[in-house]
Amino acid sequence: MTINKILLAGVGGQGTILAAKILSNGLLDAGYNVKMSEIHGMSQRGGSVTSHIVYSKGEVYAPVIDKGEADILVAFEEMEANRWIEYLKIGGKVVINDYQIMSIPILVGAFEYPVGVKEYIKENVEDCIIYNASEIAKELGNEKVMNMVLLGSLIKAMYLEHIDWEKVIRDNVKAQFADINIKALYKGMESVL
Amino acid sequence: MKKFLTGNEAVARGVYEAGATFASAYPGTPSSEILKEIGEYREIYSEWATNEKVSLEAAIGSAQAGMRSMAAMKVVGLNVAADPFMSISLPGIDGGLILVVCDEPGYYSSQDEQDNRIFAEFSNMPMFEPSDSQEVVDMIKDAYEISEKHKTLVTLRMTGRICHSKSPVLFSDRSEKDPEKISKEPKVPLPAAMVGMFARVNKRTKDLTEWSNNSKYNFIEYNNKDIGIISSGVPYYYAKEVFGDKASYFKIGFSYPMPVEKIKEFTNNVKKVIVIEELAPYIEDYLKNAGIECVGKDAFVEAGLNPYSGEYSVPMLKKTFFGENVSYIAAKREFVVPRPPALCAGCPHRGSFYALSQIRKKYDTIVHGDIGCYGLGAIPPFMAVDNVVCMGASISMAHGSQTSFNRRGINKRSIAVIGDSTFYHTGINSLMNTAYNKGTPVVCILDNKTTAMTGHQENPGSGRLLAGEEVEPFVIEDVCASFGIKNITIVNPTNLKESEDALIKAVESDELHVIIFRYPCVMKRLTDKESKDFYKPNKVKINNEKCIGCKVCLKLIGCPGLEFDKEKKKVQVNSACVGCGICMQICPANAIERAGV
Repeated sequence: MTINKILLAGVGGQGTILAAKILSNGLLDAGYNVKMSEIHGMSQRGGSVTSHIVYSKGEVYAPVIDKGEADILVAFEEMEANRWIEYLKIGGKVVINDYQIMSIPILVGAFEYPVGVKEYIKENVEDCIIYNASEIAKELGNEKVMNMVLLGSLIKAMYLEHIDWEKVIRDNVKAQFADINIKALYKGMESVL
Repeated sequence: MKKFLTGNEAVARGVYEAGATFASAYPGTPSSEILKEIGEYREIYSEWATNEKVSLEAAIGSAQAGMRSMAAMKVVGLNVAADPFMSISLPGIDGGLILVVCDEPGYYSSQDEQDNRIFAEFSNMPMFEPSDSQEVVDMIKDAYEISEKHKTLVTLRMTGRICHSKSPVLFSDRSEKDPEKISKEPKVPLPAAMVGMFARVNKRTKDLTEWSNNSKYNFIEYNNKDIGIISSGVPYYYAKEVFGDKASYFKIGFSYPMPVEKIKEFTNNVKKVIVIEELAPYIEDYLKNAGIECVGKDAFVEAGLNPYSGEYSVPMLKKTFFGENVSYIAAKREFVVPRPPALCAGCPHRGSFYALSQIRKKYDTIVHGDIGCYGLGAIPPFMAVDNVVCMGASISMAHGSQTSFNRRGINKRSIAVIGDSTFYHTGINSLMNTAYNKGTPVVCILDNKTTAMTGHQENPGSGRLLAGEEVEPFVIEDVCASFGIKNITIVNPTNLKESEDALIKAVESDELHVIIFRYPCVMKRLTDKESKDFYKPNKVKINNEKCIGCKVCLKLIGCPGLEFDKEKKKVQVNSACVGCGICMQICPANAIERAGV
C-alpha cells in the first residue's frame, strides 16, 4: 500500500498545527491510517515550525518525514519553501503561500529577505502552486484563516475533496469561527484549478 | 472509541484509565504537556512540583500511602531526581508508582541527549519503551500491575518523537483501584536491613526477567529469515518501513530486564542480526555480552553517519543498509536565512539583557546563565551570557567564580542570571549556599511570574495552582532577606535606566547583591493583581520626520515589533508591538513615541 507523506512548513503563529490537526482528523474519518508529528519546540518565539502527516489505506510506520520523502510540501511562508524543499521527493508537489514574514536577523538588518525563492522552486518543481493566501483570508475578513485557505489547496492537490471537511472543521474550531474557516477552505480549493 | 493522541496525551489517558490518583511533574520539553493533560482529569490530583526530585519524592509518598501515583520529567530531569530514583530501588514501595521520563535524541530543547535506558539497569528497576500512543496507554496499565506486584517503581521511557507524534488510541473506562495494603515492615535502608533488601531485589529481577521473556511487549514477527532486526521505540517503525517483509523483527517494548532468552530463540532462527536503536548501543551491548553476533552502530559509522547522536530516520536506514541515497532538490544556500527563536515583542527579558549587555561594555564581568528563555540572552543581539550548565547552576557558579577571582585579587565581577521558575527549582538552594558562605556575586533574578519557556506552567510565584486556583505568590525578596542578604533591589526591566543603575551599583560594590527584574511574561495569563500593576496597552509609533533610519533600535534589541521599511528608509512598528517602550529609550533621534492607544 502506498504511504503518503505531507509536510506543512511555516512560522510559529501561522496555524500550521491546526491545519495539520484538521487534515489528519479528516483522513481518520475517511478510514485512513494516520500518524502525525509536530515540531513546535520554540514556535511561540517565531521559529520555523513543521507538521508532518503520514497516511495510507494500509499500515503507516514512521511518524516523521525526512529529506526527499514528502509527496506534497505546503510552505505557509515564502522563504520557508526553500528551507524545506529538500524534504520534497523528486516529482512531488509544492503549494507556496506568496507571503513573507521577516525573521529577526532580517529585522535587525543582518540579512536581506531572499529575492527569487518562488522562481527557484518553480524552476525545480514542475507541479507548483503559488498564490497569496493571506490576501484571500483578508478578503474573507480575517487574515488568520490563511491556514485554512492553504489547507483547501492541499486537499485539492491530494484529491480528497470528497471528505466531509465542514464537519471536521466544526469539530475542531470554536463555533463562532467555523463558518469563516469553512469559507476559507473552499476558497483555497478554488485557488487550485 | 478511538482518538488521535500524542504520546504525552496518551500518558494522561493511560494514567487515568489505570485508576491513578496522584501526579506530579516539573515542566520540561518534551514532557511538559503530560501533566497539563492529566490535570484535565478531575479524578487525579495533579500538581506542578518545584523540581523533579520533589515531584518523584511526592509520588513515592503517595504510592507508599497505597495509591497509584506517577511523576513525569524530561531527560535531564532524571539527573535531578536521581537520588530518590536510585534510592527507592532497594526498599521498594507498596503502592503503584510509575516514572515517565522523556528522552530527547536530537536535543531540540535539552542541554544533553543522555540515554536514560541506562538508568534502568543502573537502578535494577523495570523499564517499558513504547513505540506509539496505543502502546503508551497499554504499557502504563501493565506497569502499575507490575509495580504493585513486585513492589517497585516502573519507568516508562519515551523519546521526544513519541511524545509529540499522534496516533490512534482505543479508549477504555477508568478502573478505580482500592488502595494497596501497606506492609508494617519498615522500609529503611539501615545496614542490617540491606542484606534482605538485596535478596528481594535479586528475586524481583529474576521474576521480571521471566516476565520479560514472556511479555507481549517483547514480540517476534517472522518474515524472511535472512535478516533479523532487533529494535525498540520509534526506530522499530523506521525499520519496518525500510525493510518491510524482507526481514524478521524482534520488537523490544520491555527493555529491562532484557528478554535475553527470547532474543536468543530469535537470533537462532535468523541468519544475520541487525540492531536498530537510537543513542547508546544499549541493546547491542546486551547482545554482545550474551555472545550474540550482531550488526549495530558500526554499520552506520561505515556509511558515514553518526548513530550515537540525534534521531534515526528512514533515509538513514536506506543509506546504511542498502547504500541508497535519497535524492532531493537542494535548498538554495543564499536563500537560507536563519529564523532563530527570539524573545517575544514586549518580552521583559529584553530590557534586562539590554541593560546587562551595556554593563558588560563598561565593566570586566563573567555572566553565568541558566536554563530557560533567558538562554536567548546568549545569542545576538545581546551576547550577554558566558556559560550555561544546568538548572539553578548560575548562582552557584557565580559564587564559585567570584570567590576565586577575589582570592586571586582579580578585579572582575561574577553575575548570575536566572529566571523565577529556575530559582524555585534549585537556584534557591544555590543562593542559600552563597549567602551562608559569605559569597559576593551579583545575582539577577528575572522574575516574569511564570515558567515561560516550556509553555507558561504555574510556579510558586505565578499566583496560581495547576488547576487555575489563585494563591498567594511567593515573595522572592522576602526569601532573600531571610537568608540574611542586605542588598536587594527590585527593578522594572522595561525601564532601562532603572535597570542599568541597579546593575552599576551592584557591579561597583564588593558585596552580594540580588537584583530582581520583575515584570510578567507578555504571554502570561495575568492574575487580577498583575493586570492592575502591569501592561497598560499603549503601543508606540515612529515619528517619520525624526527617524533617521539608523537602525540602532533594530540592532540593539532585535524586537519582532520593529522592522525596516526599505523604500522609506525608516523603521516601522508592526502589529506585534505591545508597547513595552524599550525601543523609545534607546532611539538616538527620539523618533519613537507613544501612539496613545
